[in-house]
Amino acid sequence: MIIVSVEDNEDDAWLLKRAWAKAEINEPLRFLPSGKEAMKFITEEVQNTTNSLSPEPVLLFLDINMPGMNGFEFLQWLRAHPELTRIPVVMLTTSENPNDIKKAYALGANAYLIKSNTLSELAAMFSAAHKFWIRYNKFDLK
Amino acid sequence: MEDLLDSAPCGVMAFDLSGRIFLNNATFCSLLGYTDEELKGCKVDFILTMSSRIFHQTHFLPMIKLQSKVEEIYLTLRGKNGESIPTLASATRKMIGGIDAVLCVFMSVRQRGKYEDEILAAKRKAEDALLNNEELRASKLELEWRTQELDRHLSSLERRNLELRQLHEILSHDLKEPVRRISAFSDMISQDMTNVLSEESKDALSRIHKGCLRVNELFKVLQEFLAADCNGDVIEEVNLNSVLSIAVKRVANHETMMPVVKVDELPRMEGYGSQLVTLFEILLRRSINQARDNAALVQIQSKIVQENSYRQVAGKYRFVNFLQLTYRDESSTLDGEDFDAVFELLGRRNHDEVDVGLAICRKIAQNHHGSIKLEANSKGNAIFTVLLPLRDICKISVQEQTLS
Repeated sequence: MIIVSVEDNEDDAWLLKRAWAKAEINEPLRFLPSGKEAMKFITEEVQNTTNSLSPEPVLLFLDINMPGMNGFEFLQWLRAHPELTRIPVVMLTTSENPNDIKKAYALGANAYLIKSNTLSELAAMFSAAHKFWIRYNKFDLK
Repeated sequence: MEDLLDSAPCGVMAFDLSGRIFLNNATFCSLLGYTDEELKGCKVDFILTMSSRIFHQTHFLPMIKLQSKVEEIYLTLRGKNGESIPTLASATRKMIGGIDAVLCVFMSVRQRGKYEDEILAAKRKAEDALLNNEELRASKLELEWRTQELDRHLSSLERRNLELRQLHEILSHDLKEPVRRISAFSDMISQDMTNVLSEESKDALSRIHKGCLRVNELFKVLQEFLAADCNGDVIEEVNLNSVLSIAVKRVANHETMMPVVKVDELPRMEGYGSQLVTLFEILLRRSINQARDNAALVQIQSKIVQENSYRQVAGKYRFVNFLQLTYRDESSTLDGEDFDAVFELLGRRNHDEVDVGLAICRKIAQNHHGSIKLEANSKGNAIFTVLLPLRDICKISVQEQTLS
């Protein structure tokens, strides 16, 4: 299983990595620094899936405010492809703006999480998300 | 020859230098309505109107004596029936039958008088129209100037609005992010190195963390204030009873004690529905906070008043209907609050509290071109008076112009 976090900021990526480790989750969290990189990665993964040796991502954490292609634009691209609609997307952002929350769900996000100020909160959030999406949730597999 | 003179198409009359008439033709007699006998021997003044008499004495006679003739003199004769008969007179001095006389010819100018009156009336009308046109042009010029001024103000406001939106975006993300990371890193150090750090260091990290929380709180408050704007909102017909009901439900969801709200039937008005809900919500929350462990007691009344729709332009007045909402908080008393400062942004009661609610209320009232103020009644209860125009001011002016 591949779990991806699309996060442009190095400091935040470092924090998220530490929080993921603190949550003691077995599966690694892969970081992609931009919406464009994420686009490229997922396209390649989907193509690789045809040989059934490399699975496509099963969970995607997505920041909103990123230079170039922002989170909303990436999400819009993702959901425009029928073969990619099965990938659950959890927004992971600092924005508590109700309009952003509305827009995320309208574009097809599955959940919306606010980045916490403390490491332990972040770790608890990752732990809960992992438990729900990976342990309990059933995916639509090809 | 005598027949020709008698039937000439003009009045012929002669008088001696003492002013006595001794000769008339039939046309002259007919013009005045007198017989020849009635006129002979009369003084000339007898057949002149008062003003013509004065003219006759002061101009006509002196000119005759000086120049022996006058031409095209306007004289008004007085007919037998008292009618004023406008004439054009010419006269010459000559000897008639041994008498040193003035021989006059009178042409009736009734029609000409009418034409002249008509010309004068038309001239006056043209002058009025020109004057009105001048006034119209002046008004038009002023309107043009005011429109340009308005355009400059709108451009300035648009630019400031854009700056505020950019500021909002910066507050939402660019300023908040570093603070959040500082808080997260300090928390991480504090947790990871709890066995190694001294008490002083732990205290310092705790202070850093609290400082960051405080800054985040400030950001949140400023964001709320900036968000209370009309961007995207549409003016709609709003039922204030429904607005109040929604606000009460929202407050009841988050607070333990339901407020007791006594309210008269509130009218409908045109406004920003969601903003009006927020306004009531903020006032209700404030009442609940003030009431502490007791239920907040609130009374809301409304009435229609007349207020000047001009807020900024001095010396301009147009009184229109405003809705006056009186919100009385009966469960608490004001304790030395500055009634104007409470509406300022970041007005705070003590250093630990950050309060932007009433500043947002004022902003919402101003978004509606209205106002809000705070007073205390004799019992010290807070009374908020909100003034909101009942209809959109621009629409009123357009409709008034259409009706007139």
